[in-house]
Parts: sequence; structure tokens; C-alpha cells
Amino acid sequence: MSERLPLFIVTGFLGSGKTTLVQRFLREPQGHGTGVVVNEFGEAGLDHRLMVHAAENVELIGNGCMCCARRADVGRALYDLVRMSRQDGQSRFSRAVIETSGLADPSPIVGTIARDPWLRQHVELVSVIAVVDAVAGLRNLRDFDEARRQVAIADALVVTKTDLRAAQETRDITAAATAIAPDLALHDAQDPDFSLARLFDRNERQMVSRRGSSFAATEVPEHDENVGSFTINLPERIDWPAFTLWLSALLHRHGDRILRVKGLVRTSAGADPVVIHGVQHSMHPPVHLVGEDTGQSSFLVFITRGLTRDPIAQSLTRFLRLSGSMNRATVSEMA
Amino acid sequence: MCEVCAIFGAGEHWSDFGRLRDERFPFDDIQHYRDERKRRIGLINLVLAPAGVSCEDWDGEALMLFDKAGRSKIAPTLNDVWPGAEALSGRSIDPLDPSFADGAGNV
Repeated sequence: MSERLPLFIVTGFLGSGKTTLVQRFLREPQGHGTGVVVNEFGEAGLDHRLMVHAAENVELIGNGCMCCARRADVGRALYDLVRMSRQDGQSRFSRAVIETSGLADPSPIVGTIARDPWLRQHVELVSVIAVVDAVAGLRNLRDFDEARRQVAIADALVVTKTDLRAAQETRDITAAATAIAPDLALHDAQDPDFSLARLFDRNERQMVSRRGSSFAATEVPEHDENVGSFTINLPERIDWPAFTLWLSALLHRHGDRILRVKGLVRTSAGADPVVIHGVQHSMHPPVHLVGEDTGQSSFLVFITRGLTRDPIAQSLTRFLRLSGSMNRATVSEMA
Repeated sequence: MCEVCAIFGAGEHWSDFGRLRDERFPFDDIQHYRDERKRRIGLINLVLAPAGVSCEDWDGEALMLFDKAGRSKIAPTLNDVWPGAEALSGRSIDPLDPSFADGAGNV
């Protein structure tokens, strides 16, 4: 599985600076060997030798839920990239980046990779990076559902254009973004310490577990459009079969309203904690943190639209109790 | 395919976590994986009992759902259990419904 092509999704509203960010990375030595999939040709052209163009093409399947839509274009483009990366037994590409169009909801891309058996075996989605610009970003987050959805499913946030005269305070932008997704890794593209090489490094995976001290999720009161987030603390050891059964049923019934779920769990099965991570109806394979246990307590973070914490926490408590293996466990309030 | 069990497709689902370690020969995990699978099927049966649906393992490969009339549906992964059970029973399965897993409470 380690031979899978690492994939990064770069999303962000129109004019936020996605292409500039990707282009900047491609010019760096560490950016060599990166294949790029774009949905639209921006004004700042990328090197066409590195690029696969995918005309945006969304097929709605099943119940019409957007996250269950299949992005046939993305599937095809990634197939081409993987094939090119294996040409002549040599790895031409060691990394892939998908730059979404400015109005795209990235969740169908995530869903396409999660549901396609071939892509699952050949592509590893490392992180979703949201680009928000300091000039129009606040307004976009306020006015456009697409902008909020892009931030909601992101692992990392890059604030661009902070050096422009019309830029708004970076802290206001990060506050607006973390109100939607509290566990975002925050970056300022103009910060001298900002490292694109680290942003696009599979070993620097933007995992909640590795940012214990900076993680401060709080319940967000009815945010606009009811997009909010909350944290559920978990018992010390959770019964994995019971937990996965419950979460799978929850995502089946309410996945369209669960924009994102991620968390760190310690299971009945092993000593090392496991990081779980899902976007709407799609769960990524869990990551075992072998030898990386920092002692952080177990938790789940939900980013939802119109779903509140208590019914979910109560349901989980009830189910774990009923499963018989967690008699002592209750889901505690976030301190 | 799991090299030890010779079961094609075993562990494809995210919840099948033994297979999803970056280990080529997860010998230590196999017995554990099977135990967990058995226990999970027991839990699925508790959850689906009120809907009149039962679940059996199908060769460690997939799950088989049955209603009381004997009709069946294959569920290749855990994700497919819920729509399959809903199709067989005509009832929706909602873990946020306080009656979810009521069957488990009686055991």
C-alpha cells in the first residue's frame, strides 16, 4: 500500500490563489515530480507537461447526494497520472495535486477516490488544502455556501494575499474558518516560515492527533446555514466493531449532513491509537499511529449542517453501552 | 486478497482495520480480525432484529442479509448492510432514533 501515489486536493473560492500556490510549489525543488489535475485553466498557466486537464463532469448517482456523485473526470485523470507515474517501471510522478475549480464542492472528489476500488489501491489522499485570500475571503465565507463547504472538509488552510493593502486581519479570517472547521492546520502564505514542501509532504499529514496543543474545538452555536462543529470525548478504549457499526449506520442515514468527521480513537484491539477521517458518506482507511501515542485523550470532531451534538453523543453512548463491552463508558462532555 | 485466509476482498472496508495496516502478512491480525468480524455480525443481528432482518457471514467475504420470508441480499461491506436491510424490511434505520439497537437492550 505504501506505493500508492500521494494525492493532495487544493480547493478554494474563485480568485483565492490556488493556481499561484500550486505554481509556486512546482517551482521549488521539492515540487519536482508533481502531476497536476486541473478543472479549469487559470490565467496563471501551469507547465502543461505536468498537467492533466479534466473537464468538470459530475455524475449524480444513488440518492442524488452531492458527496455520492462520481467525478468521472477526476477518476480518469488520476488513472492517467498513476499510469504515467509507472511508465517504464520508473516513477515519473511521485505526487499528485488536484486543483479544483473555484465553485467546486470537493466532496465528490473525495468520494470518488474512496469508492473506486482501483483508485483506493493506487492513490492515497493525504490532505485537502483550502486556500482563502485575505482580501475577499471573509466575504466569500459569509456569502457563499461553496466557500464554507470547501473549508469544512479541509485539513489545512492557507491564507493568501495577506501582504496586500486591502487585506483583512489574518486572525479574523482564521477565526471565521476555524468556526467552521476547528481543527484546521493554519498557514499564512506570506509567512517566512511557511513551507510548501511541508504542506505537500505525505509525512506531514495534517492529522488532528499530531496537533494536540493547538486543537481547541468548541461547540459552535448555530452558525450560518447551521454549519457548526462539536467534539465528543470518548471512553479510554472503544470497542472497534461496535463503534464502526454505529458510525457506518450514522453516515448511512445522516452522511449528507455530516460534512466531516475525524478523530483519534483507542480501540479494544491494539495499544496504538487510530486516526479516523471521513467526508460525508466516505470514510478513509484509518491510520494507525504506531509508536506515536502522545497520550492525548480520544475524541471525535463532527462538522455538520443542522445536526447537533447531543443526539449523536447520546446515540453513541447508548450503543456502546448496549454492545456490552463498554459498560463503564459514557461519552463525557468536552471539558 | 488476504494472503492468509485466501479470501478475496477481505478487509476492503475501512472498518476492517487489520488488513489496513501497512503490513503485507498480517498473521497476528488474522485471528483477531475473524473474532471481530464474528462479534460485529452478532451486533448487526441485534440492531436489525427489530426490522425482522438477520445477517450471516458469507465465507468471510461478504455479509448476507435475510428477511423472515427468506428473501436475501448480499452486502459486500458494512456500508451495504444498511440500504440492504432497509430494502428488505421497508423500514429506515436511524441510529439517532432512540429505538435503534433496542434489540440489543433485551439481550
